[in-house]
Amino acid sequence: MFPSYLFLLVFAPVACAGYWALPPGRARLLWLTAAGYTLYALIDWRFTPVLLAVTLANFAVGRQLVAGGRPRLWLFTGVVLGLLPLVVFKYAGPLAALLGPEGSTVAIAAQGLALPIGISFYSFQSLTYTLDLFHRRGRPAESLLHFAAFTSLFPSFVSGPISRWSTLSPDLLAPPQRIAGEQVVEGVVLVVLGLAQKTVVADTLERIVVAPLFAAGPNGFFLSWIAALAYGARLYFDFAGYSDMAIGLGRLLGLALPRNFAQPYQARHIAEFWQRWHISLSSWFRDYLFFPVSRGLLRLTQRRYPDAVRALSHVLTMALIGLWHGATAALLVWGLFHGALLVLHHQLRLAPTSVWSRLERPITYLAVTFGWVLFRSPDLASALSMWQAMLGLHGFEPGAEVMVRVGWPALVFVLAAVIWLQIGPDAWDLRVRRTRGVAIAMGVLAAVALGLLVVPQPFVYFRF
Amino acid sequence: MDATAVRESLRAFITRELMRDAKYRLGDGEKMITSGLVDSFALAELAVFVESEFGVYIPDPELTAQEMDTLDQVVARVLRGAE
Repeated sequence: MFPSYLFLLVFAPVACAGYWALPPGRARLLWLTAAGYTLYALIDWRFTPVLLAVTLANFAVGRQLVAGGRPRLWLFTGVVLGLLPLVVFKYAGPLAALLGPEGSTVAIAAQGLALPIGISFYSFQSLTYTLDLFHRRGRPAESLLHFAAFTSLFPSFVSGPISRWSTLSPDLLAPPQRIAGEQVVEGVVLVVLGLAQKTVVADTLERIVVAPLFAAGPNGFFLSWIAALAYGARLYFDFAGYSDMAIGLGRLLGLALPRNFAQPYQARHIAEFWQRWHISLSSWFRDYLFFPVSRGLLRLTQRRYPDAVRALSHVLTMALIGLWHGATAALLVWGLFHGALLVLHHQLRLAPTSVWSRLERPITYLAVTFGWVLFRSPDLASALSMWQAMLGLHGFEPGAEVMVRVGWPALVFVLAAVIWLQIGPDAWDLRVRRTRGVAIAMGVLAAVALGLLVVPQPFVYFRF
Repeated sequence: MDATAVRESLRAFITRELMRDAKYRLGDGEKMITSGLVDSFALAELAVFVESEFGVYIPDPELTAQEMDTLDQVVARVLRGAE
């Protein structure tokens, strides 16, 4: 739905124009909420009660927190109720299957449930209301409508960026009467750049390199690395492209959605990678899981084993980030793989000024690329096979075979994408000058990106 | 609470335990997190150190790069909590 003509040329313009045509306050909140639920109904109307249930549960718990008394009990209730739909729809089936014959009835019933698109994102965003009120960050919602507009915000509720209640809610309540021209330009530019990243770069990489090489099964060393590097680039341009579109649409509504990417492949080490990749999710887990867990363990052990506490907290957090993406063995291993990298990074204790620390950047990029294989492969066995190939255990193809299988144009395209990711800025940092030439260039880019949308490809993160 | 003692105690802890480079001379206004010297996950250790050394509790949501990026900011937060 998001990368489609209906959404980009009809739904989004009407939703934005209607928002500014209405007076600030209740009418705009109602319009925003209606837009969110309409979009969700267009994707699949059966999902709308789930969004409504998550909204009502968090709002009700928030009222209790504001009323005072037993804040920890209400925090616990809020977390359980807020995550219950996510657990039922996403994890009930796999969890029941683990129980064997005893869980088979539940597993079969769970198979009949379609996973509501975006549930992982809006469940987490809604939960920030309970968590922020517990920590006394931000003011309570003025009304159910105020909160419903936050949970169903159409640019972002399906795939983020995950906003925090304390930062976004004031803007929803007191938007300006009119949108500034500068903000319109910034919003449109981000939408165009986001769409171009998606259709021109990500979808092309998928079509000409990633899909053929992954479908071909076990390759040798070179083709496996080309496939993995191309997939890493594709994943970035796909998700960063979506995020830029969402942030751009947010700006067209006068709302500041949080940054989601900051040149992640230029990270100096793995800890920095997680401060640059899917920032709204990784910071959510850091603030609401890693900090409480690691602080609790440090207090419990009286800071006698800080390395062990840090390691355990990292592994737990990354395992849950892996499972947040999906209840599969491959995604759990992906999370544990990153947890292990974080532990290794801290155990090596490389001083930032040392020569060895400079090697961490290329090693981090290659390690992250190695890990993406788990994201793409249909199962753990396929991923392990590809990892073997990337370690040279399936042999090395001659250069001529690489050229025949991939082709010069595709190889140059992958190389250009990889170099760009190593040295280029992302759309957030681009400051586009308001000149006629730039306007024409943006128009051409928009036309090309829209033209390639004839065969729309869903965003990778929509399945999470 | 002696601000100079707090500052030097925090400086020693950050360079020795968080940066793993005790010889590094961390400036008062030098950015620790946004510059990559310390990763934001380490703020949990810093918060527990502050708790145990100075008896000041810093809530989780305040452990951000915006609020705890420099030694000056951390010292100010500790002194504010001790008031």
